Amino acid sequence: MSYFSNYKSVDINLNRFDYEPIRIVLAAYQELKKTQSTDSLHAEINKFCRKAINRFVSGKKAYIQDIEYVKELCRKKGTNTCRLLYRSIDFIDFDLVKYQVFESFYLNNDIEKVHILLESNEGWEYHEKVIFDLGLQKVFTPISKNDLKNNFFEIPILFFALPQWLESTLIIPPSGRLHFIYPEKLDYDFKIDSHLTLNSGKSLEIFSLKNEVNKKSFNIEPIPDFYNKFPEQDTRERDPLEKNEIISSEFKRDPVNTLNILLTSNNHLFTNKVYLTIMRDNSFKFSSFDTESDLEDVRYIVSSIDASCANIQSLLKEQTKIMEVWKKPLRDQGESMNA
Amino acid sequence: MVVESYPIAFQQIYKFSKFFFTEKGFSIAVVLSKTPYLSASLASLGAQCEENIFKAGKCFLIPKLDGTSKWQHIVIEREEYINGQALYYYKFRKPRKRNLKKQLEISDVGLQAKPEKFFKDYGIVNHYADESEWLGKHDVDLSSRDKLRNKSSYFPYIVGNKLKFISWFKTDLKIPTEEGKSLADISAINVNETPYSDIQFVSQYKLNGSANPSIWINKVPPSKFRGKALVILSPYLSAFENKMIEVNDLYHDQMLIACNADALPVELRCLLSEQKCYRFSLFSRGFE
Repeated sequence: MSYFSNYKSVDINLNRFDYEPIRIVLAAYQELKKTQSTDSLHAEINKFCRKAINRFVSGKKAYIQDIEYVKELCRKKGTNTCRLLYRSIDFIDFDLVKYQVFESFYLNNDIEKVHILLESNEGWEYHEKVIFDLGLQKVFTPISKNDLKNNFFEIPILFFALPQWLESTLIIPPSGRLHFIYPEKLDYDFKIDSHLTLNSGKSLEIFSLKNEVNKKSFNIEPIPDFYNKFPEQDTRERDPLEKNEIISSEFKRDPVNTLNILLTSNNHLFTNKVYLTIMRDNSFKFSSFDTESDLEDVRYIVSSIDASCANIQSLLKEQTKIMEVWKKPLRDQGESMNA
Repeated sequence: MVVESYPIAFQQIYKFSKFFFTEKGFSIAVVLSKTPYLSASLASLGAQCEENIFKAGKCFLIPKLDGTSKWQHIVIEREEYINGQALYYYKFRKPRKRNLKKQLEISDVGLQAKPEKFFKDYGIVNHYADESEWLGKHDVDLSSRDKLRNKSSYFPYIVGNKLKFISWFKTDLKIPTEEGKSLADISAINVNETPYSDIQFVSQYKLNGSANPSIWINKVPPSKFRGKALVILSPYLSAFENKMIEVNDLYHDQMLIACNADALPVELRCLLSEQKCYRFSLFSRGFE
């Protein structure tokens, strides 16, 4: 760990794995999405489906209650797509693939050592056993989000995440070699451009940063039980590639910038969020919090907006939306006081 | 301090800042850095410049020599040579009678002279002080533990979180050749919260229109800003997108011209292209 980088160039390695069940789940997800604006049950199914997929992509054990909830809703709905989802959602659990994923990653890459980025200590306990069983304990070591914040590493860093979740991290990468592991179906042609550009796209930077992006693919076999449920492999044929971009942009989250300030015992402020706040002088303001000192002058925190992946338009839209909800009662109150 | 013995990323920001603040042609520089406060500390060291402390109007603190540990505020008025020795006349505030209401009447200000050596040995110059305010200030009690030295260095103003800057300045840099040393240790620069700190902090609202060079940390100067500013932004900032929009606005409002690598001296260009720890932008104002 050092405060100063020592890389001359940056390699970004995308390790994409093909996993049959996630193909099926994503296809079902897309199917339901077409009607989710009119069908509240579809919207609810998709919400939890998305949650499950996000956990899977993040390299985490599935929440059984979420899976069961999706299944329950699918049972209620009972359409063909829902039945498909009912049978396949069980396999969207990182537990089922972790041995294969770690092994394939190690075999497909020429690495001596690699850091795994983790959100918590429990994350390490989860991976540690696999790594030990595979005899790779000398290869993988954990690092936390906080380590990542100010430091540069000589050893490559491995992320269980989609690269577009970490766009802010990739502007100035924490190591000269980065590895991402994620399902191939969520592949997305991401770009790390110069960040100071004109509307015309012309860069304002003295030097442009060239990152090398290497893509690798490998197969992850589902457990035998999967083939009992899906004996005929008819799902493989149709595979509309052009839809990938739309779909993968829905699975969003920036795991790096979260969770720093403890507000009360059970209330956290997230650094990647913008909060609507009422200030000491009774004015409204949208604040983001980096340190405790940013809490000065804030009297009350009204609501939060997840800005981790919002672009500026969607952020403003969200802001106005919350503003409107809060303005009205205040306005009414003001009127009744004046009356 | 031999800059070349430090990591490349250390040298890059230090030398870029030195170049930016000494060259007249550039007005705004934007640096993206993962460690904005550390970068700002390095940039301020790079921008350090020597200034003659014996100039009319320079503000000093000198010991009162009356047996107390009190120091008084004085302002240099003029220089005189006696037997080849430099002697400086300075203005100071005479103790006032109570019924005098006005803070700074002409009769209130005394004039005395002391040799150059006295100021060099005991005086503390404050490059940032304003003469009209300085004389009116009360005497201060400085404990002997405070390391006080005269300094001829002048640094850009820092616009940003003061405590964060100070803590980064005093953080162990984790450089193997300088084990356990912070920037404060390496540079022997005194940074603290008192008004007598070598490096001065200022609110972004006070710098509007001012011509003082400044380093902005995670903040972007407003479009009416006319001074010279090095802006350091972290891509990890939650409002990073907004900051980039502000930079873009600044670029358009001030009709800035973006410089490419050809604007840099060869040596600096090679240094900056060697590693990608930062992202640099350099602007000049079109019509000046």
